[in-house]
Amino acid sequence: MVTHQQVEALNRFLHTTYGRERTCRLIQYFSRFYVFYITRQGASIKEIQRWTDLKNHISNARKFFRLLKPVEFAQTAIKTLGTQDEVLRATGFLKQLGMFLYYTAEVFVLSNSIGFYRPANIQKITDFGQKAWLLGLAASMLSGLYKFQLLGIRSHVLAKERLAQGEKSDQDLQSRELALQREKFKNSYQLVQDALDCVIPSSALGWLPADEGFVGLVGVVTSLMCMNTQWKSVNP
Amino acid sequence: MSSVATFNKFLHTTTGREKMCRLVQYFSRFYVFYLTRQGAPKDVITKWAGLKGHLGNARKFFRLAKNVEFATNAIKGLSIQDPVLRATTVLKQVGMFLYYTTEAINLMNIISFRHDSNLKDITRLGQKCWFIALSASLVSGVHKFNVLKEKRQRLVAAGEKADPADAKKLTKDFVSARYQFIQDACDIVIPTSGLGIISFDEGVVGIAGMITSAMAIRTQWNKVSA
Repeated sequence: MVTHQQVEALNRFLHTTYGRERTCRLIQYFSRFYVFYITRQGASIKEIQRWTDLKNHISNARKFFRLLKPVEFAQTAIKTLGTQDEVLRATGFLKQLGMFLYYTAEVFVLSNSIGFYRPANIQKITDFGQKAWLLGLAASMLSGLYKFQLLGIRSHVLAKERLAQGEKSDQDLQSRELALQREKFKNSYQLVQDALDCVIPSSALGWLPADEGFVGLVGVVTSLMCMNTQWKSVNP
Repeated sequence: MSSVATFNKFLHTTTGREKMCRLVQYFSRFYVFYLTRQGAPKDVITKWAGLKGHLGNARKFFRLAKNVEFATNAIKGLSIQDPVLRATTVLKQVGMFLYYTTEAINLMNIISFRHDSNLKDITRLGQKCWFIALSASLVSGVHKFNVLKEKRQRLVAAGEKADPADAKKLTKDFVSARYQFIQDACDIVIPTSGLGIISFDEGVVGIAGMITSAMAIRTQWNKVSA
């Protein structure tokens, strides 16, 4: 029997655009994988068409719901210009810029696919968007690696403190160590997610020879990872 | 809070984004009607009709699990004291639950994921459920007006002993009840036309949808910027 709290938690999750959008992304990339899978199994054309249509329609729906997202990225980009650390400032800004350009390109991809507005150089725009996404992911990974260095230094300092403490237990030190552990986990989580996500634009640009099944599975995994993060943030 | 930050916060809620898409969808519905009357070229009309169709599908995708919300609200509604409010609330929630369920089935058919032979009947059922839900909401609105009028009379009778906070709350309740009533009255145009009870033309339906979308956007915006 499903509890009331579980239902409330689900509603809270679905009330955020991000939660719903990542769920749709999960279904979209699953369809992408599934089409590949059933084609290999030799399914009927009707069945394949059914899942391909689902993938296309969900993809359009998602694009509609991300239409004004560039505004968010532009705002965050300007905020990152105020970060103290130069490396984090540069990588943070590049990540926001990359995503801003990617989402702007997606607007044209959408208007083209629904036949509302068909720019002549749509292929160039699509490729540009994929490259921008890759740039954003690369910047995010660089920032992650750099953060690992910083976290390593902090862990070193905390270890020294722990040694100086000896047998005594200190609440403050413990809470700081716990916070550090959580940050390390968060950082690795993000790094793995970004690394996996790189597969998708790389294969779209033809730089990585990955088949639709692999791309689909990668998309499923990263969507689940995002959904997990969003669920935790809405239902602490 | 700066407007851009509020704007982003607004778009972060599913309701906010969905109502904006609804606004554009019903505008397209009106605009197609307008263009057809003006005798615009065929490809322009197709363009806007396509936008309307795709937006409708996108919105259906994003409302897929919404009926869960209405089911929980219906169950919560069963514990309201006032019998009229209890009946109308439960009716409204159940109506919307069924409507959204039929919309999900509708979507599966539109994208050819499923094929239901009795799709027309299902769609009609959905429109009827929406109509009933809106009617229940209107009845509840009228009842709320009566209750609030009584409260106001009591407040006036109390004279000096009246609590100013009560008066403020009363005004707020009046405003929100009126807002909801106007929204429901405009919204009911859409299923009324869909069921063929009164054949409003696409232009009127489009404008009604635009008004209620704008009203819903305003409510959500205020909620987010509070």
